[in-house]
Amino acid sequence: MAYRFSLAAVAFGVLVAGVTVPDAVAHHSFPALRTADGEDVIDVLEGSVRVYRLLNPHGALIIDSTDDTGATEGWLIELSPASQLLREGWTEDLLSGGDRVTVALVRSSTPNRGRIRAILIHGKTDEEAARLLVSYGIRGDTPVMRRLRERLPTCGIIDASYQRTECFQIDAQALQALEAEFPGPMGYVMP
Amino acid sequence: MRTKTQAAWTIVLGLVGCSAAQAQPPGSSAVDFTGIYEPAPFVGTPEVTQPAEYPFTAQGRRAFETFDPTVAPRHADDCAAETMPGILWSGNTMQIIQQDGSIEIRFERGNTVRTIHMDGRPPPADQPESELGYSVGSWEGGVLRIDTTHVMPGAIFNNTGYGISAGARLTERYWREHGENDLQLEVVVDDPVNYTQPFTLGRDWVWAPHEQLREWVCVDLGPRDEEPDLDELTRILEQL
Repeated sequence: MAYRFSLAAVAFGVLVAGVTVPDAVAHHSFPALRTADGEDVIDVLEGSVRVYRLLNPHGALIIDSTDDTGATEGWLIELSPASQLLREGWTEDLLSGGDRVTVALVRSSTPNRGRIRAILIHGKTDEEAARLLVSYGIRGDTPVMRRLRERLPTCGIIDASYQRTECFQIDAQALQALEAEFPGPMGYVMP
Repeated sequence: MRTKTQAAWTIVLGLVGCSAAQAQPPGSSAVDFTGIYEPAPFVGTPEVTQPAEYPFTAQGRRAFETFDPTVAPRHADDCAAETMPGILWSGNTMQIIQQDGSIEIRFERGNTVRTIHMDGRPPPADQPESELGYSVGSWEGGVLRIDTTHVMPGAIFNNTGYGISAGARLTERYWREHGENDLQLEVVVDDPVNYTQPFTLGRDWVWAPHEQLREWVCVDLGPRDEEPDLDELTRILEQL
């Protein structure tokens, strides 16, 4: 299942205040898909994990997403660099093949490719709480992150001092409440 | 799509010691900079001081204004070799190891290792150009000076049009402010092909005794302007 949103341009390659810095001191920019208004496009996909690896300069998550007709298509979702994620607390076994996930991603201008914004890792049973990892475009002290911090307990696996990723535990009741308060697919991680 | 898993050389801080800032290696003005450093903010785009306006030559300005990021080396290959001076702006950890006759500067990014020749000899006459160039170091009081030549033509900052020519000379100066272990870096770029006069760039490195250099496992996820071959990429990733 895929849903689509757009939002005001997200700064890809965050620059530092106080001094002028070239646009690409660090890594290359990600060519985001834009709307006619110049906004980034965000999709929400539901599917299962095919493969997940922490790598440089970008981690990789490939999922198989199923649409309304039952057709399945693969998506490559880029993550932050392993050098960063490993320090924050991401692990190689955070995701396994077959795990059911819902992913909000910033779409690339090329098909079937995007960059992670948030991922909901569903519990393996109805009783097991899901984990919601939020990162790209909303990390740090942002309204979305504050909204989630006020409502959800953290997973305790991420070092939030880096002010990048955060992980929240989210049981069925909390998820239902969030979905009611912030309508739309993963509305709770949208602006 | 290319996979490059370079040799593991995770370096644990314990090997270099936590009180390195006070040690004095041989040499009247040498300071021991041995240790691991990180950018501030860590793992991000470091703060780089630059001239208010770059003194482009006509050729340098033309190159800057016509620069096409889609033909930059890193657009085609995520795992392209790191270059000088681009590696100096890395947002990952860096380690300095001082030894007899040379200094090694290791960067987590790309498992990159620079060798700084401290024996006072100039580059060999037949020294070829290379990604990191040829670096000769010396001490000026408590300042480590590194002169690098024989770099390959490219960019000062990765994926930008701020050009650097093969004839450029890069003069780095590293020092510590009194009572601090952080390293200040100033780089003078002297490249008459692209710039009418030398100019200075700078950044700092934060002393990070708690940190380490992790292996940089690099995999190119394919060109960003082409639809990914997910079956091939899945096969590559599953083999890792």
